[in-house]
Amino acid sequence: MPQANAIDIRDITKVFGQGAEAVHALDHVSLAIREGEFFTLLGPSGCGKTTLLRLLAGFEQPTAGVIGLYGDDLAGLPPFRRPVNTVFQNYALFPHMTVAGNVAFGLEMQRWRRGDIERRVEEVLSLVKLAGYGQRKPAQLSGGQQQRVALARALANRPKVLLLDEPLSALDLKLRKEMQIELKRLQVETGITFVFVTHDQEEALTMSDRLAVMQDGKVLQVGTPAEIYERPTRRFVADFIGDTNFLQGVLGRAANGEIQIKLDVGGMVTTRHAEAHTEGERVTLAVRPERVDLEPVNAEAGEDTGRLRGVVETVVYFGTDTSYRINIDSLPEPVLVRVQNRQGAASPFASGDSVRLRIPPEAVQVLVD
Amino acid sequence: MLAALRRSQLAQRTALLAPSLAIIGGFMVLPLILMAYVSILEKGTHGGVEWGTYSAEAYIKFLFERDLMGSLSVNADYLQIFLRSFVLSGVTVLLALAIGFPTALYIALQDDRWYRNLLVFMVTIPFWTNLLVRNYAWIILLRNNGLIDNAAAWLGLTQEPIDVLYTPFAIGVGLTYSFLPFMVLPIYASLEKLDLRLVEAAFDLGADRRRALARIVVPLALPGIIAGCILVFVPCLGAYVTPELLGGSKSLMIGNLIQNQFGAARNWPFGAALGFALLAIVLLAMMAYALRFRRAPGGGT
Repeated sequence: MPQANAIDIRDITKVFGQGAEAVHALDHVSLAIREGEFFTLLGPSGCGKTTLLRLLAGFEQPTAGVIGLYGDDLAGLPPFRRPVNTVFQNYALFPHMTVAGNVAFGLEMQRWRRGDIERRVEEVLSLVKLAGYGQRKPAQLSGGQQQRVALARALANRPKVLLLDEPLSALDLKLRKEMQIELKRLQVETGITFVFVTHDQEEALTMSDRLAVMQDGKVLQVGTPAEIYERPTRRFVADFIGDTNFLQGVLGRAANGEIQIKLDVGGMVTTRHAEAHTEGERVTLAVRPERVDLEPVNAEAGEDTGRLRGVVETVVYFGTDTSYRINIDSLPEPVLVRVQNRQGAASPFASGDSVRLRIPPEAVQVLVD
Repeated sequence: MLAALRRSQLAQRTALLAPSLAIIGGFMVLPLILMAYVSILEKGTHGGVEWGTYSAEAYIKFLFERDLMGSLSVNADYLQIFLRSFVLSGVTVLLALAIGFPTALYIALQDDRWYRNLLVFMVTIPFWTNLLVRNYAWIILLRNNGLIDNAAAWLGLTQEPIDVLYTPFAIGVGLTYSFLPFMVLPIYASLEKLDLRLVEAAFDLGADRRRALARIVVPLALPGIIAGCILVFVPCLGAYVTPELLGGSKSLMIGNLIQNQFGAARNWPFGAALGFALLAIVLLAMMAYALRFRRAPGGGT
């Protein structure tokens, strides 16, 4: 695994405007992005992810804090002196130049020799599977092809870090899936560090080596997709990525590596991780719908720990799984449960059935806030 | 049904175009025909023309001189005036471009929409004052013992009077000043539409400011630049007031020459012929340019 940090972001703050109208786009953000990884900044619009990318590219200067690139402080360095390149959201291809002209532009700026430029342009265009398109104008290409040209143009200079600002958001779903695979392939093939900005949680989970979830100018959590999905530490993270049920409870005593939590709706669950909390504290739990099991209410079950009673409100068949919304007395929102379908088996529960929910310890994630 | 629709569209189109067609036809095409007719008539002794007597004398006079014996010799006086007009107009275009492009760029780069509109408005302010008044103002500025002369002497920059008024230089200054807004406004219009992300992309790919300007901004603003150049060049060629007031008798321009023929010289056919020669040269130049520009790769949008 690569070890060195490609980018070190230390305590970056970015404020737009002044006085009462000042907007804190970034609020004391620190991140380390490792060499050769596919790193994603994920968050809703306005969370500061694009601002952070523009700070890396040099289009904006931080109000406070330091950005290091392979140990070099980037402060005050204009965009054209930074060994990073950007793929812009709407591609920003030069409309008056051919595809080859667009890709060659960066090389011409580096004062490459003509012959070398031609060779490199061809090489990069075939890397993005656009060999033979060099003489076309950007306007003659489809959205997906324009996207590839933008990639080729940014990769031509062999940047140390490639910055991608929601590059797939303008493509339709099918093309987007294709380009996701394509981007991942390019990243592995070139070994370049990718910093990818998106608001699409699925995109972030499937493509990234690691990702940072951002909200209101702050980084809430950094980790691998599995860590972020399985062990969200914040309510926002759990809510933003995938479906989550939130339950309230009071932390009980720890025994045998398991901690009991007394739920407000009645009943107990146990968990294995609650390091940030102490006994007697009120906590919020996040439970993924697919980690919950459903049992008929009359089944002979052992102890009642980890079990809740409820009534099936709706049943929705999804092919691979079936989704249940289950009403529990005194809980304002129904609990979502997803059960994988077995071949040939119809849903064992129907709307109106009484069921029991079994929540195993590994399904319970205690949130920090 | 479709035919009826088409016919009504045609009627509508005609109705919409009719007023402008009537004005252009009545006040431009007809006078032009009249002018062409006058240019091939014999001149009247006391001005005007001899209706019905035809002569090519006006066109011959443009290039040749007839001596007392009636034989022709080449006379480049009028050609020289044409040449001077073209050179002065060309210099004016270059000056206006050199001043106008940075101005337009500066305005287009302002974030504050209100401030941007204010600047555009300020560019048009000279139009609110009469052209004559503005040119007289330049006389006061440029003449010996005028504002500029006195300031230069006071600062110790000059010992002698500057002797600038009534020279082609003074005409150039006056023309550039008068027609600068025609350069700024079309360039601003095309720069305002420019997607600034393209400039960011150029920076991102390693272009410094100068190369981003040369490779991205200028090519994309080219339609506006060309429009501005034409809008300055063509009226400059026909300029009358500025060379009349700021230029001396030695720096006539075409406009003054033509006026002279209808006034003091009392040679209407020659004046009409000069007007036509100017029109023909401008139209040919524009057509050549249009053809060239359309064929040039990447141009024309």
